[in-house]
Amino acid sequence: MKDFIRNISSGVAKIPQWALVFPIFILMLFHYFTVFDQKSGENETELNAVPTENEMKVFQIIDELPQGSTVLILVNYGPESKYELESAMSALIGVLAEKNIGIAFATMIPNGIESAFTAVEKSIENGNFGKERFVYGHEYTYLGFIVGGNIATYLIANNFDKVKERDIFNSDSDIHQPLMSEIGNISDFSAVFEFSSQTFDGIPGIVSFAVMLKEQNVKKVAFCSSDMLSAYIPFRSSLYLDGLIGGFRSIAIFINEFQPSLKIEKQYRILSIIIFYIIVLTIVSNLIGLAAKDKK
Amino acid sequence: MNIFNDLGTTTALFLTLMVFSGFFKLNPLYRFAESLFIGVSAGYFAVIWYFSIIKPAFQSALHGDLLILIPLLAGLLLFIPSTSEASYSKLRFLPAAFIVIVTTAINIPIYFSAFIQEMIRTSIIPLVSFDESGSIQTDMTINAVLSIVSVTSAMMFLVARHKNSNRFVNTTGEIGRFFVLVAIGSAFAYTLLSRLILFMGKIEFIINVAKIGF
Repeated sequence: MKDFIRNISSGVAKIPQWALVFPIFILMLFHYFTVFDQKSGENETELNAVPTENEMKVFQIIDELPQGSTVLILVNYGPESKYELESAMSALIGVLAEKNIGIAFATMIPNGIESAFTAVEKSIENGNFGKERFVYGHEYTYLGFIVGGNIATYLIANNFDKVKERDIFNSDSDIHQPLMSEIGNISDFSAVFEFSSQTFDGIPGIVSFAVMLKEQNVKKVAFCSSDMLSAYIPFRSSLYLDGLIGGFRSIAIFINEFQPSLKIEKQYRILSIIIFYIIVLTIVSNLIGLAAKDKK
Repeated sequence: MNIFNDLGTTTALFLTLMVFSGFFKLNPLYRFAESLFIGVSAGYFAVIWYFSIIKPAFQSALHGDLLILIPLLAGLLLFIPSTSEASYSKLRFLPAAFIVIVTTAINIPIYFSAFIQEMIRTSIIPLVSFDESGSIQTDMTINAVLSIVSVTSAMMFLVARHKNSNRFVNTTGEIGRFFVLVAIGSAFAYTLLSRLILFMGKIEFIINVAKIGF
């Protein structure tokens, strides 16, 4: 019996890496061609995930944002988290634009510049604004790249009028950005949102703004990728953040609530099956490994 | 038809396939895509840093803001070779020490507040949760008790690693080791999930390009 298990174990060890990834690839293709390719326009699958109290809090914050106010969105993710965060950001931009809330984009990482541009383009392509035009300078603006990570941001948060002086295209904000005319300080925003796939020395970018805004009535909400969730939860627990949408499950719930046309529930379903495959693979391989192990 | 968009999409498709070919075996196509990615990234970041930091700094200096020369000088000090035996070579430690001290001074209060003070507070308050009818909320209470056990035992694990004389500390430390492993496993699983979504996105990209055609 022991030899039989050892034979299985050595056989399993010889399976090449690509053969383990191949089923994931097949699963994705199968679902894209059986589920995604239908032109019915109806939701064939449903998102079997109920919003938690934390997610409901974020919905409430967005619902309660005053019309005509301005929010700051920090775009701190690059291409590595594009597929996780871009749809959520596009959904948020759509909701804010529909409520006539101005958006100022800024980034603390070089890759964030491109991410902000593509998210706005995606929102415009999706046409989820409930309006025909989305005018730069009037409804949204790019403040550009805030250099220096958290240390610089602490200083900038105190002296925000310097940041908003010129946009990313080096245009004078007084002339070209009527949106920023009433923003003199960071506390003039009704909310600060962050879309992030990284921290700065272990501290999220939005926290440096939250430190300055802790006692003020500016809502702080973070959207983070799955791999950053464990870094963000302590800051939500300690109330530096008013809301947190972290990980694909929360993001799927958020998108399903605000932009159901993106049909995130199908991606969610594929991912669930793949994760189930990985869990089975892990358990089986560990059981074989344990059974084949010599007892001392 | 936008030829540049199509060219970009086609290039992206072939580069994606080149990178995926690394699953089977390391090959020249994979190495080419890898080297190209590193080179393009380095170039992109160099341009961003130049236009975001170096150029504005020099412009400020030229317009009379001479304070900018201090960080410029500090930056130049970092270039003193570590092998240099000249008496001034130790000056290179000054900017590095400044960065470490300022970062630590700013981050410690936030770390202490978020990771220690508030984590312990939210773990134990309230220890026993009641719902509106006055009965105990089992899930929340178990969660609070589990939080205390995990936080305390994980701390004991760190103590037991260095000084294992006390049997109680060792036993509790072993329980803590379990929670530490659960935490590391969760972090790893979240990272895997994130990469899977990225993989899924790239597959979707390939399918979409294939559907639309070149």
